[in-house]
Amino acid sequence: MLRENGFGSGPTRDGSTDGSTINGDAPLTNGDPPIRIGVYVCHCGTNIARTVDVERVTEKAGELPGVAVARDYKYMCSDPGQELIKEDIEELGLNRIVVASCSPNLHEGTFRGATAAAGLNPFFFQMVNIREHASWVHEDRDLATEKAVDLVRAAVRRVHHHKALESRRVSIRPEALVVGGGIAGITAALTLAEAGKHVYLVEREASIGGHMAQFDKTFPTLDCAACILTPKMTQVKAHPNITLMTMTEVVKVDGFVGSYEVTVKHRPRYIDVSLCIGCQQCIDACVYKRGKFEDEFDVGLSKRKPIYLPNAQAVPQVVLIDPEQCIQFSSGKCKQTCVEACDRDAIFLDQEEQVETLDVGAIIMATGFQTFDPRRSPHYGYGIYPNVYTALEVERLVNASGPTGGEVVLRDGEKPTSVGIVHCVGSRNQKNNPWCSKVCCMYSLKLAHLIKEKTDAEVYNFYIDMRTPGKGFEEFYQRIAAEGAHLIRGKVASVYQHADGDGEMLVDVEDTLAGMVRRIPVDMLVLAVGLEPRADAEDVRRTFNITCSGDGWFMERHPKLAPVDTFTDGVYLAGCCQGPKDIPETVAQAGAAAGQTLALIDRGYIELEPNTAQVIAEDCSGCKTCIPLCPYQAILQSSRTSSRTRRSTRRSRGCWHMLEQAENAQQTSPEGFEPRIVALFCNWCTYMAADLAGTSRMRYAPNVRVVRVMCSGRIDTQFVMHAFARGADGVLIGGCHPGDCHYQEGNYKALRRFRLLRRVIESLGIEKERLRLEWISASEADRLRRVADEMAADIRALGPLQLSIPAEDFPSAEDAGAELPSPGIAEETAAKEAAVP
Amino acid sequence: MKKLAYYPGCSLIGTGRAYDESLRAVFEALGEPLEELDDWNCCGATSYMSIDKGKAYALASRNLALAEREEADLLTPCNACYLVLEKTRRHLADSAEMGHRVRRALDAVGLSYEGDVRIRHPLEVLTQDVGEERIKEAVKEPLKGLKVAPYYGCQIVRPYATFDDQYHPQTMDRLLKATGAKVVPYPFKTRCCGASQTGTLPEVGLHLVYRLLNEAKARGADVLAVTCPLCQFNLDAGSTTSNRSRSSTSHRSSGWRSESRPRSSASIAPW
Amino acid sequence: MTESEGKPKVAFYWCASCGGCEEAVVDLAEGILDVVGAVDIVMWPVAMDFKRADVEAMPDGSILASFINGAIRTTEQEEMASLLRRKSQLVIAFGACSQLGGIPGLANLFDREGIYQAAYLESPSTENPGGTLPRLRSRENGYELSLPGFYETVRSLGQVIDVDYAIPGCAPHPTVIQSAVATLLSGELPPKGTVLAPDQALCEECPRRESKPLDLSISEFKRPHEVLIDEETCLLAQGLVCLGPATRAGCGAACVCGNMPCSGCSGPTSRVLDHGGKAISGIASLIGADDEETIDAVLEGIPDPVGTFYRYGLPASLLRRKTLS
Repeated sequence: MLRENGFGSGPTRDGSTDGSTINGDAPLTNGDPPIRIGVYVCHCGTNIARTVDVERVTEKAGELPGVAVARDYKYMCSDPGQELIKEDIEELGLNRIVVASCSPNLHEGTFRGATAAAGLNPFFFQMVNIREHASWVHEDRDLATEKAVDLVRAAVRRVHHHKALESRRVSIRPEALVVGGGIAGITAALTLAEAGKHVYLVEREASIGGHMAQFDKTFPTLDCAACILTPKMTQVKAHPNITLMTMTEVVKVDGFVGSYEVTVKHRPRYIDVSLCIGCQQCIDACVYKRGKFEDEFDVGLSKRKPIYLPNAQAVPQVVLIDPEQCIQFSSGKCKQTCVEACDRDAIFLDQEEQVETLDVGAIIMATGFQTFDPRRSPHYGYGIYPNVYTALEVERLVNASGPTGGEVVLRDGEKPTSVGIVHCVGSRNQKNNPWCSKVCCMYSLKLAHLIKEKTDAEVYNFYIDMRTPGKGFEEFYQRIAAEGAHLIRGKVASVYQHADGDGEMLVDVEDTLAGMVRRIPVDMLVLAVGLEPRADAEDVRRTFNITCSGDGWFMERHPKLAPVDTFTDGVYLAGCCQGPKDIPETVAQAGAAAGQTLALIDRGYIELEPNTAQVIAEDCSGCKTCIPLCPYQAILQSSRTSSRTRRSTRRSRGCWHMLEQAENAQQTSPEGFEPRIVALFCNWCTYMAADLAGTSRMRYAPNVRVVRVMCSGRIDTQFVMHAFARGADGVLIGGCHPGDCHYQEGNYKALRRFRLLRRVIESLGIEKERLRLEWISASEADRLRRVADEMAADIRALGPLQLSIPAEDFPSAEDAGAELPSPGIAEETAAKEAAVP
Repeated sequence: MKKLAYYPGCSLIGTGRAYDESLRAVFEALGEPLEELDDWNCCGATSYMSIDKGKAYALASRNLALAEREEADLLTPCNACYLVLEKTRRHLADSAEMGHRVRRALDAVGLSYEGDVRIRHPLEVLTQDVGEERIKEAVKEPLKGLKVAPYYGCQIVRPYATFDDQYHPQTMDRLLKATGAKVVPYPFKTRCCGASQTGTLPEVGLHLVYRLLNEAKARGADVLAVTCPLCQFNLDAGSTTSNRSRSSTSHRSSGWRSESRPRSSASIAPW
Repeated sequence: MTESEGKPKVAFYWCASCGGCEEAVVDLAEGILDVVGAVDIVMWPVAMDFKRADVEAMPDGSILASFINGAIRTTEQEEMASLLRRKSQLVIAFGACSQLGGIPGLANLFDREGIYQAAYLESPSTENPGGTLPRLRSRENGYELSLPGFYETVRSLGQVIDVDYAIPGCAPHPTVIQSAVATLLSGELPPKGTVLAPDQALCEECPRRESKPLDLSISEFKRPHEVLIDEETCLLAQGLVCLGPATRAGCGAACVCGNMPCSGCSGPTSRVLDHGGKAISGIASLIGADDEETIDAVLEGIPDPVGTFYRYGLPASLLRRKTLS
């Protein structure tokens, strides 16, 4: 029988008759010193001050309970700004700090540091986001200021409840996983291995090397791709610190930064990698006398047998068998000449898929890209006319080890006399991919040079804009122009074969520089296909619990300041999986990712956010409801205390107690009706989307007051009800899209609660427009804007939520006992209620 | 399939009457007889829109409102009607201001439009909803041996590629194949037929007609199949005139490969 | 608390209630004799003949404790509650109706007009050809008659007067009453606002606790009449909506022992703001579905969510009632 705080007296709209809130306004600091809060409102130059009346926010903050000092300052994040906090803590005895400035994603660490430097526990600090969430997204100075005041009030109320927390250290395993064996993965793996760390390099294909291995020359220096790549590939194979796993995919990732448990699946190769020496006698012995199946490495331009070497420079230099094509697998009746031919007995046709678990501390994603399939833009004739090629196919044609031995020839073996190269196929196009693929202009110029060199054909480059930003790039462009390649600035409208049927194609193109439409006959057309995220990027992203930007590339933590980090600690990005890049950029980014990994591993530990859940044993009745709800199985039943639960500190993640913020985020009463919408946003996606809306300077309804929660699954239905009871006209819950939850399944819990809660509030006459659950990812700022505007408009149309019954609506007992006229009580009370202002 | 309200538009009760009659017969034979939208009005065509957008959208949206009242989608065979109605539908959804104006106008005649009507083209309905298999089964006399150049015109694929590719549409090709015809490769399938230029600037319009017919002939087509009454009118009427005036038209741009010699043009059939 | 005139004076009163709370007092059996012996009962309408005027004549604060059951529906109930408040040192909300609004509180799903319509005009057993509705005052044969006013909204006792303690339950379990009375008589009073019952969830004392699975996931909700209920297994695990995890202990899990799920009459523990809200959070989270459609299909098994999760506490809940148009 403990700690009760009044009952029955539910909250009212004006909050005046009600002294009780959750866990009470009763003194929280039994015996602790009184709470003294310092509030600091940042101008951020003019970034905040232009739209938010900073002085007024400061003045209002100074009136709030517990606030000992409120100041505004030009740049709180500057050294003098931080110094201000430290001095005030020391001189004024502050024990809580609130800074109203930018997003906590930017400077929470900074101010926690300043707080700690003055000897105060850093978790007595709370940040208020009045830049991304107010000054940058609103225009009306009064409404933006009012919103800022509300947000500050909420934070001040919140810090009353803060407790000193201690960060916990978790050690980091020294091994790393690199996913993808292209030039990005190879570089990252070698860098880590050279630094003495053990690396697992996992590659889906049978050989490492990636796209770069398929190229002939590299721009702008025209050095041979194989010459620079092959030594690195062999180095990977030979390095004692690298475990190379080809034909292997990651199927599951458990754990967290410092100790990831990665489950990988090895597809059967039917060859023992340790026995095969790559002599290829088995290939010669195959019952297929000639190649019959499309060779993947040559992009279908040559044929291979069911048993084959991935390519001449393959690492590992080991053959494999395609079970889809091998007769033994389809009929079981092959003579197995390959097995006979192998004098090292390396062929095992009964090999099976194997699953293995790797323990690593960090992960580098280097899964690369795929090229655009030009069948999706059929007007270029790919797949319709035989002599329309993709640039990757032509890379193989010009390659001396390619299917034609480096000869550029048409399907019939003839040399082309006129070749067109169409830039931006599948790039810079709203219909498929809006982005610039960055490398196509340069590789198109390179191919123009190589084709001209090998065939002496007329080469036409059809480009929209020539993009050559890079060291030596513009010079390369000038060189190709001087070599006599035709450069026509205009988009190709259509490609078709001449009716005469001699195979020649006509390219209709607008020449915007000459101001005319040209029709150019070519006998070979090369499509400079763009780069796009791999088809399964979405699945891979889920496996690794990282995010994709709206266009599907893996998303970096910060586009400028954390370009190789992800939002998942200990997972880094390298190469084109993050966005189109050329080789030098890829190598640089892979080095950076390896550097970040080394910094993490070499420190040996990380500090975990201490805001994790705990079980108060004396309050726990052992109902066990929490146990199935924890996706990390972090809540364990303690045998010592019967069925009381205890928490595994190692695994549990942070969920914050936010109710105090919810109830206070909407208290000022504006002129006329402007809806108050309390928004409970997931820290990982929707809150980030709100930040992005700020950095993109989008404008949306200023009615929304954002409360950051760690996960939509943390949102107790009581939070929503409390917000309504405290005067919110609407509540917006924002979470990650299904399947994207940072905590695996929190958003599903949010959805389940929401569906039931919505039934309840509808039964209670609250319109469903007042409560919304939206999945808004970190990249969907525009969606956030739309939802906020829509909801504000909907609720404005509905009017204020007339929820609770102010005490004045009841005649007092004395009034009720006084002389009453004879009409029915209904009319009487209605008249009385109407008389209440 | 959601109920379809047939919207013939003015052309199909005038110059495009054959199109109307064959379409009704085809749907009848497929067991889905067409029901004409009651009290439909002019779509406004493309010209009204260039004069007064508000009135043009109001005019067109009346048809949407009528269809919505019947809980039907609009089946619109004329390419121009298709484009105008689709454009209206999209604009009302995208522009709150225009939506408001138009709703007020509709309100004045006791109508309303919430945005629940799709604009369907017979090519879309026949290839997607009905399907080639059912059409193949329904064909009584296959068009065996007939070589057809499919001509889509511009308005059903541009600017909105709603049910087919913008540059390389395929639905008519598939439909024609289902009827047993041989489809010849026809790279000019979405190029301009000259539209009203044939009337205002005949030397320009007829040249465009000539190119289409000539290419079809060069590709060995016996007939051109069209889905637009205006295309049909131009190609049909122009098939004789364009030959005569061929000598008077000229190339404007250099770098063109000269087109092959003029031949007598192919005949035109509604698809 | 001073005890100037011999035995301490105690009052019992009932407002909008069913009488079950009075039964609960009588259910103390011989235990009641100890109570009666120890105190001087100055008001108890159901058992003794004291009038309002008797109480009004007493000095303010002269009653040690008033035990008031029932919710506040009418002006008369509010008057009596206020009167007893004035005369008493302690007021104890007795039972779910008084503490939380109780079953009568479900009337907050309707407005006064609707209730009048249903009760006086539309119910099949009503014979009211003149369509007469209650009036505050009316004249009959030259006499002026008066009726108490009928509020639009049912309130808990704590929403009307200052309340010191509450004894939960519908009706309070005899052991809860006994231990509460013992606490009050002990002279060592707990902090004001305390609910005089264990501050833990019902699972604490539930005989089926050990049978609750650690991987509970509910794919179908069932109502007690629809299934043959296993007598050993956790009821939630059988798909029955048992509010035990969100409800205060003290009753000895009486309903569960009777093979029925807990319906929540003892209200929440002190750490919960909204009883129904907490139960919704916990129970909805356990639904074994991830997509809207399937979740909704599962929720069809709870046809009356307000009646399920707010059966005893709608007036004292955060949302309190259905909005008035």
